[in-house]
Amino acid sequence: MHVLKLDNVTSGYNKQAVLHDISFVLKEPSIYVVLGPNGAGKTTLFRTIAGILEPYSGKILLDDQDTTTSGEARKRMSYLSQYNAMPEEMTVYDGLKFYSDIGGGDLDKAIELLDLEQLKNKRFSDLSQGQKKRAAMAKVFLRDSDLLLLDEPTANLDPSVSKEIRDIILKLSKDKIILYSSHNLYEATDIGTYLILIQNGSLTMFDKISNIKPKQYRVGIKASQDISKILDVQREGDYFVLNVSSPEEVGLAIKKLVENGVQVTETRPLDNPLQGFFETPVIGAEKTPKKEAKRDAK
Amino acid sequence: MPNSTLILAKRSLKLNKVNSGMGILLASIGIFAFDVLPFFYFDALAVLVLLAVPFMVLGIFIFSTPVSLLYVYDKNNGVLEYLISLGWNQGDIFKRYLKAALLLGLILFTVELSITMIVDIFAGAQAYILHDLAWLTLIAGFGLSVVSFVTMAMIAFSSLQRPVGGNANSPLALSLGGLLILPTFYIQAFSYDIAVLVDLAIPVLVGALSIVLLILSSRLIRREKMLP
Repeated sequence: MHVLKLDNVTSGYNKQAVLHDISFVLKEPSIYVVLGPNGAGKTTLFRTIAGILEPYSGKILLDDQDTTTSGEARKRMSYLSQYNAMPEEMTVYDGLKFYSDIGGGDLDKAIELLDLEQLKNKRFSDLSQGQKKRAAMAKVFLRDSDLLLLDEPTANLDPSVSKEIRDIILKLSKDKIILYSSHNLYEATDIGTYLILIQNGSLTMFDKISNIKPKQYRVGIKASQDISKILDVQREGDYFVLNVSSPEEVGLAIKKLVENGVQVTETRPLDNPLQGFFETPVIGAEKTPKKEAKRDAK
Repeated sequence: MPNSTLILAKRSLKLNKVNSGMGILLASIGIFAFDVLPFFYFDALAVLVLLAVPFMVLGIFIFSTPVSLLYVYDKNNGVLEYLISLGWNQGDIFKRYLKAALLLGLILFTVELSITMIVDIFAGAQAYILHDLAWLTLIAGFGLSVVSFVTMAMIAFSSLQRPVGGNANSPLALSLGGLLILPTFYIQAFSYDIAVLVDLAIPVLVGALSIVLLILSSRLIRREKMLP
């Protein structure tokens, strides 16, 4: 069992703090989704944990090894940045070999895991965006790391490739601590167990996603007839939209419809429970350094 | 020689064949002036040697520049950031790119040295071996000090990575290297003694600056400078 501990970490660029006094402890092997608006400091958080940025104050310990000063600690984690970070002039195989020669690892296993057999002799620069991302991800799986830091691993990928990558990550999460940042709220609720919310460089929430309850649920209902006379709903496209304050109320509403002889063909939540975090205006967001905002935007 | 240094040197040559080709061409002109022309214009030996020096030095420098270009390229692609996450620190990166640049410079110098020695031996100019070795020592010192200074300065000061005239393949630091060698192209027109003095003074000065940069490197080179 591995433990990642952040103790009052303040970090940033050019002596300008982006992250402020971040503290948390990750003990359980699981996927921890890091969420936050652009410029909140998600990438800075990943870079600081990965030892790429040296914190201005505070400590980051992976099983009591300081990730900033200890190369050995950094070797125990794998970091996927938003950049592909592959030597573009090399073939996929040579690029991965370049990294395995430096950091060690099982080249064939990574190629098999990411299904790169067909692509391994192609130049990295000749690949499509999705193929590039897949090849770039393989370098993260060269070594059997204790901690994975994945900064928007499925950004700009088509849904099928995103799903493949999510499935691989889910499989690995059984025995690893995985920090995963995403802008996709549905992806976050789909893959994550825990939520780490970063707003304006500060940690504003750390909880199990299953514990997060929105103030209001919007549920879309497809029915065999107009239900607006039975329930207080609004018509939005194909759906009758019902606003309730708890999931239990949805059951009661459906029961009422059935009792009135209505055939309900579909019910689905229209909002994501995490959506509220993006709707809340971030006070002082304008103080976020532009450079960081640009980086996160990328 | 660490494997990673060799890999960086190979990657540099593969990525930028134009600069390495130019380096070889310039070195060839220098070798021609240094080794061949004196057989036809022996009276002008001193001038020819002085003319050969900047070509051979510039050849060494240009031949090593693909490493500087690779550094900028790797930085922009996120490769350097990833190398730090693999356990390297900024010092490791700095040293490996510097060694790769020096390795390339040394390879071309070895070619220049070998050709000169072969020509001296086979053309019966053994009497000039010591003379040639003295000048080649100066050329090696000059070339490698410029390579060290430019590579270190570029890594330490991000502003020197800015492309000149919008050409990504010519960062400001490379122009700086060219400027350091430039006076030696025309200084012999004034006086032989001054030319020799300048040929000696520039490498001493640049070498000293390189040592200063090397000492200050741990302060000047921060990890965040390696970020894209």
